[in-house]
Amino acid sequence: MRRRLAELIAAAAVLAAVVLLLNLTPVAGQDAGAPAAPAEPTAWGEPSLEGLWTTRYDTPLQRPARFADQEFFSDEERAALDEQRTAILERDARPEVGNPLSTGGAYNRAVFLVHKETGRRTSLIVDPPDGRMPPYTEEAQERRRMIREYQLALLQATDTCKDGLSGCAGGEYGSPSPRRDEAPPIYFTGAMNRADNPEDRTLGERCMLGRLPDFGGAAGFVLQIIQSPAAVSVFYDTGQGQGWQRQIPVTDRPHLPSDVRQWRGDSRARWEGETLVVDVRNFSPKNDFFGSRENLHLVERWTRLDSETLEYRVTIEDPTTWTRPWTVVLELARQDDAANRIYKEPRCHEGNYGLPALLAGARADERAYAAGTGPHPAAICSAGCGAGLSADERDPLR
Amino acid sequence: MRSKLIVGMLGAALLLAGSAAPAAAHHAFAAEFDANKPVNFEGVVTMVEWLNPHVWIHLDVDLPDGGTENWAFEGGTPNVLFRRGFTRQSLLPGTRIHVDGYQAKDGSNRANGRDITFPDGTKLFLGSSGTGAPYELRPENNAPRGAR
Repeated sequence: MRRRLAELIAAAAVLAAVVLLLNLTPVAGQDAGAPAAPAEPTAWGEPSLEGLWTTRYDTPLQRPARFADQEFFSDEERAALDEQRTAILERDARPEVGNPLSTGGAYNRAVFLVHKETGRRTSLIVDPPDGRMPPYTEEAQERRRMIREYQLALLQATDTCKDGLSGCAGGEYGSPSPRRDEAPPIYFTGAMNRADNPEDRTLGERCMLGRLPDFGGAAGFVLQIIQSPAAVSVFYDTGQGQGWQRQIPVTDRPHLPSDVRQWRGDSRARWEGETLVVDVRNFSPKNDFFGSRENLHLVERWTRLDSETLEYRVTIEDPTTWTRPWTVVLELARQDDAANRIYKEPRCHEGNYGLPALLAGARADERAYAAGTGPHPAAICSAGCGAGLSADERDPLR
Repeated sequence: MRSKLIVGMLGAALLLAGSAAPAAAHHAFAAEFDANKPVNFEGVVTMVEWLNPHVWIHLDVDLPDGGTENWAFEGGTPNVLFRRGFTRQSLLPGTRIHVDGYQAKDGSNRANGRDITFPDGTKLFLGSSGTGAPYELRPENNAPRGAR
C-alpha cells in the first residue's frame, strides 16, 4: 500500500512538473526579445482569434491611489509588490477552531489571491486617463444606498455589527430588524445575510457569476476561442467553476427586440479591418456589473496583435450608472494547446452541493433556536460579514 | 455513532466574528459547516467526484469499533486543480488519508476538508491554490502537495 502510494505520488509529481514546464514557457509577445510572428489568418481569410488565452500579469482594474500619477509601475515597484503578495499567499491566516472564519480555512489564502506576477500597467482602465472608474450618477448612488441599507438591516443583530467589523461599516448593532421579513428593494446579486431561498444567496453561490465584461479574477481566467465565418465562440473559464459559453454572431442583423433580456446580453459582431467589433446590449436586470444592469452597453474590440497576443478592448457605458463611458484593455497571451488539451468544463450548477447545503444549514440554525439550543437566526452572520482580513493581509492590487 | 467520530467538538461558541469565508470564496462556508463541529478522521478514499464548483472526496472513515462509515469532503475547483497538475490519478480509491475539517450543520456525513494528510505526512492541499493560469509567483511553492 505504501509503495503504491509512493508510486502514485511520484507519477503525479512527474505530471505536475510537465504541466508546470509547459505552462511556464515564456510568451514571446509579452517578454523582451524577438517579436512574435504574425498570426496566420483563418482558412477563409479572416483574422484568426482562435486559441486559448489568458492574462500574463496581474493588473489592478483601477489604479491604486498611491500610484495616482503614474501609468506604469517601475521594475522596483513591481518587485516589491510581488514580494508583498507572495508573503500574503504563504501566510497561514486560519483562525482558531470554533470561529466561523475557520470553516473558510478549509482553503488556504492562496485560493483567493491571484498568483501572477505584477504587470507594468497600474490599471486595466485606460480611459478615463486617471485609471479610475468614472463617478456614479446620483441614480446609481441611490440604488447603492438602498442596497446597503437593506444589507445592514439584516446584519444589525450579528456579531459583525456588535464587534464593529468592516462588514457592518455604516451600520449599528441592534435587535433583529423587521426588514428581515421584507423582500429586498431591488433584485439582489450580492451578499444578503439571509438564506430563506436560493435567491437570497449571491450569484456566485448560485453558479451564476459569469458576466460580461469579464477581466479575470482571483480563481483563474482562460478564454477558448473558436471561429467560423458566421460566428465566434468564446468559452469563459472563470471564477470557481463559473464558466460559460458565449456565441457571438458575425452579422448585420439588428439586435433582439429591447424587451428580450439575456443574462450576458445580446452580442452582434462585425469585422473592421483586423478587429472584431462586438456591440452588446439587452442585458438582464438580474445580472450586475458594478451596479450596472439592464442599461449596460458594451463595445468590444478584439484584435489579434501577433501569433501570441490578443488585445481585448471594451468601452463600457450606462448613463444611468456612470457619469461617462470608460474603457478597459486586457492583453491576452496565447496558451499551450497541448497543456490544455484535457479540459474540465467549469459549469458549476450541476455539482453545486453547496447551495442546498447552506440552505439546509440555515434551517438547522432555525431548529436549534426553536429548541432553545442556538442563537436567534438573525444573529448569525453567513454573508457580507466582512473579510476579517487586516490591511496587510489584503492583496494590494485588489 | 457519528458523534464518536467527532474529535474535539467544542461546547460553546467562541466570540464569533468576521466573514463566513474570504471574499472570493465560491460560497459561505459558515452557512454550511459548523465551526463547533471539527472532525478529524483517518480513512480510505472510495471515490473522488470531479464536480464544479468543488471536488468532493468520499472516504470510508475508521470507526472506533473497527467498522467504517462513509463521509464526503468538499475540496477545491476541478479546473484549477487540473491546471496545477492534480489529476484523477492523484487521489485514487484505496488511498489512505487523514482529514481535518468541519462537519455540515445539518448533521449529515459531509464536511469540508481543512487538510488532507497522507500516511507519510505529506499534505494534500484541498484548496484550489492555483489561479487556473500558468504563471504563478512561485510555482515550486504552489504545486499540489499530494503531487510532490
